[in-house]
Amino acid sequence: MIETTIPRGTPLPRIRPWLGIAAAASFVVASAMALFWAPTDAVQGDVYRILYVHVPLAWLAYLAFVVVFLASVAWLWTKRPFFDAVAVASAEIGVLFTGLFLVAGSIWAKPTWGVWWTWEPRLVTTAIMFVMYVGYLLLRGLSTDFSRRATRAAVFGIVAVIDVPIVHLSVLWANSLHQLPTVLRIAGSPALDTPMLVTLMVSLGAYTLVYAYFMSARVSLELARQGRLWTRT
Amino acid sequence: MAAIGGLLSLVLLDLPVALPLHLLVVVLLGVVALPPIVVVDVVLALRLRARAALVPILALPVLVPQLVAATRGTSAALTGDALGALSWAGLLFAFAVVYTVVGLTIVPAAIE
Repeated sequence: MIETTIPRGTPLPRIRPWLGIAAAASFVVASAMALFWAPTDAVQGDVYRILYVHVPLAWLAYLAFVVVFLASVAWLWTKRPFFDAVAVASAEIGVLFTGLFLVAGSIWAKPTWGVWWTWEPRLVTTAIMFVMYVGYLLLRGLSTDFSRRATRAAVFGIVAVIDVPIVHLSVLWANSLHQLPTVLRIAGSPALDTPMLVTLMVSLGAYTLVYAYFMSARVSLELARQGRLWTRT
Repeated sequence: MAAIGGLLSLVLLDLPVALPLHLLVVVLLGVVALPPIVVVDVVLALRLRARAALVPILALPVLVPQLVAATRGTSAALTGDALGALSWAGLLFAFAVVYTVVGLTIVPAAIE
């Protein structure tokens, strides 16, 4: 059977509390900056401040699914159970953040576009991404054998991640209601005021720390579960 | 089947086709682009008890971008937007290539 012992001396459990503290502190700082320091938008007014939640959530959703992809490739390559744990942890967190991302976008859309939801390519592809990773978790949940489950999930994780660049590019392909990406533009510098940009960057950093904290917690949980369930048989 | 369906809808709905060649390209690419990912999902779900339910759940979200591209390309070809039809056809072509390559490279790993 597969060996799933947790490697001794991993720094994971030792740095986790510090990671949690850093994530919480930077989250508070980022929220304060977003609410009080960043200037009010000339066109949208205070409503635009949801940008500081919406964009980091989008970034995390993409990041999480890229991590799923890398971990899936690594699993197929090495068959080390650690990578499967990383993949499932990242997929679960990715589903969470994609859900929040859609909700935040919806809340932003109501005052600015006048609708909660519209069948516009960007929104549809993001919703698809959400459903796809729910399907990923479903596929995992229905499999019983450890290594077969991990392989199946890895193949689907690789197929699904191809959707992520399509989600980003669909905004450029189809001229639509959604505003163009503000930060990662093809030509020139980001179209944001400096304080706004700084706030956005701090938010991105804070949310990434939150992701790292969730990941460390979920991965060690999954490793413990692997050790309990799969070695016994 | 796709050909019959396409012809029937053209005849029954009495659609004016502005760019027949573009339409043909879009339809052919659409037919080529859709199956690979379904095959991948079928292989993935092969040994599972709930495979009958799982395959559509897994396949549909992956198929939706291609269906959107196919419908947008078709409507562009019908209304005479040559550039639109070709760019959607290009997207369909990309889907077909990417999913075929991915399917052929990683599915053997899944079958074991």
